[in-house]
Amino acid sequence: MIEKEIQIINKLGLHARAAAKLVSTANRFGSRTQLIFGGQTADAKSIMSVMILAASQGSVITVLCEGDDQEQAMQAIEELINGYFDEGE
Amino acid sequence: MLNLFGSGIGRGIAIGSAYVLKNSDIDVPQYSISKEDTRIEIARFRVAVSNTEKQYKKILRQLPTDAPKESAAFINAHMMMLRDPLLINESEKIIEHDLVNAEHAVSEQATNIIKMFEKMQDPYLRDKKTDVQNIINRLLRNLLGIVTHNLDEFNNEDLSGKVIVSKDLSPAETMILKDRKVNAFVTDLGSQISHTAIIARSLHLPAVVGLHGSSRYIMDNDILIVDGMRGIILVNPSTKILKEYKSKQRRIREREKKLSNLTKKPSKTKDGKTVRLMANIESVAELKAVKQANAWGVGLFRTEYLFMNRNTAPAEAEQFKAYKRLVTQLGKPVVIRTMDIGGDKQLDFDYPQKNSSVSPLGLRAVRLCLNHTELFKPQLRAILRASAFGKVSILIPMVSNLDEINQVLSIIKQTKSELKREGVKFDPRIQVGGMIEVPSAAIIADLIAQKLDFLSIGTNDLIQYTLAIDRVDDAVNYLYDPIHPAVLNLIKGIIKAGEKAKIPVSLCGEMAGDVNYTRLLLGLGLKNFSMESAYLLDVKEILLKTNTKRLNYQVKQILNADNPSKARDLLTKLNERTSESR
Repeated sequence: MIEKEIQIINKLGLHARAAAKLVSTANRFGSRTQLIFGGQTADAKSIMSVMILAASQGSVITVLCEGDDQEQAMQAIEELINGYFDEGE
Repeated sequence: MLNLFGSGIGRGIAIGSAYVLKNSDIDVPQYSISKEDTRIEIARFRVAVSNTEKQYKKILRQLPTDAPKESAAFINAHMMMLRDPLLINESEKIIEHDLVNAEHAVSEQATNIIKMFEKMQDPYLRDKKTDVQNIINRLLRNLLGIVTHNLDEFNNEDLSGKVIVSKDLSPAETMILKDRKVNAFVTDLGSQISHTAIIARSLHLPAVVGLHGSSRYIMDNDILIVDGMRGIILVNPSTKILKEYKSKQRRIREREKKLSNLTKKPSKTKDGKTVRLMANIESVAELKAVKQANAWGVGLFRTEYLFMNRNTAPAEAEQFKAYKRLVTQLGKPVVIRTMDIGGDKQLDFDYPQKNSSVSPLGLRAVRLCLNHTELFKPQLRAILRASAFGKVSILIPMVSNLDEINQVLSIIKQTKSELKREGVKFDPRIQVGGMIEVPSAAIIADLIAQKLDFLSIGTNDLIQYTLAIDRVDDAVNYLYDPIHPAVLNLIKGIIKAGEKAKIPVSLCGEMAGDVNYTRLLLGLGLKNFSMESAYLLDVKEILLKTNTKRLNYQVKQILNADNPSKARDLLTKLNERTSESR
């Protein structure tokens, strides 16, 4: 299992569309991915759990990946978050 | 054949097949299953999930090419929420552990999820519970095998010739019905004076509302006759009755034709008084009907519809374009009412203190505008800019005191000097009027008349507020009485106040378009009527036959009637005299 802290930098935070993109990304991999923020743990493959985390801009979330492709999964998620979820801001 | 009764709206009869919309309430059955049956129950649940997903995919395929990009993303997000393990896995666990049916398990888990959303701080994310609710409802309908339709922006079905059947229709849904060539609609809720009814009239659709639950006897594709005049729906009628109604429909069309001969006649009473008949509209699409009826102008343009069915308020440029189009296409005077948001006219997007405006006594209309000039100013700028292209007046809804009027006038003055500085053209003498629809304003109409260029009586709200009856609550509907002496005396007072101040007074409520009140209003001294254009020629027919000099005595009698039924009798007599003096 690998673990990483990543800061949410896009303006709107993990709102509906960003959450959807994150779930699609997590779903591309067999690994189990979890997000921890504000004392809550969310399954990164469940859009509703991710939304309920309510991680806004500036939040630092902990990402856990576990499985055969955990490295690739972590990398993809990191790129998505650091790339502002392709939202441009 | 089955007969259903409600309140009728519109002048016509429509025949068509039923198109049953989803009901927001679904009765969720609850029953226990045996341990051996859990596998079957879970299989049934999975079939429903995959059917629901298929429906979303179909919607996605049928999206028009010009649909906004967000539409597809929105549906994809819904599909993702439907497939969410938090919904699927947990519901299946409930089936297995509690040994209950799938419908019950799903709605249990839905309640859990919605509770989590409700706890959220962020209003935008908290609002997502509505999406969860929508998805669950769709899934439940699939589980229960209920055939119904959604009327949202993703609905691209051919609705021509259909009769829409629903528990209720929101103003937003009614707007979607525009240009879809439906024949009629029927609803369980609502009354003749609800906002939905007004929209039905403006769409020229017959409707029957207030069916009180009996819409559940109508199945998708049933043949319906909707008699908007009598408030009756005939479900699956016999061929004989169908034939009768078709000939009735023909007779109504003939009457319309006869009325159309009146369009060119000058709008004058028998004793030679000119009466201005104007139209109430909510979109440019209605201008054709306004022109056909040869209205003197638009007496009320309801701008709230520019704000509906969208995620953000329209910007100044967009509003300006709409107002300019209206003014230039009509080529006649137009009264633009600033946004009357609140009450039963709710918007999709968030605006400040939205919760308060839900109440008819809340922070709505001019109150909202004055508290949030960031919404008000762009609209004023857009209206002022449009005034460079034709005769435009500004109408302020729901004023209740002089302070509000002073504030509005000073904001308009300020906006004008801003435009002047920017070198933008507008009509510097643009007229500003107030809607008199709150009793306090009606009582001090003479003071208000000194401040403004014209008054417009909004009887729908004036009656609601004067008689203290919520017009969307049909349990108190029976108390709604336009000829209550309190109402008539207020109307009379407003007209007199206008005469004294030498400013025009018009009436733009439903009363203006109801031929039962035409002579009464003429007798009270009203000279400007604004109504749905569908009724304009009916009203004209009456006024052409009326000698206003002979109304005084009977109108006075109605004002002094000591009980409602006597007032009704007197009104009938007054209207009968119209035919005698033909």
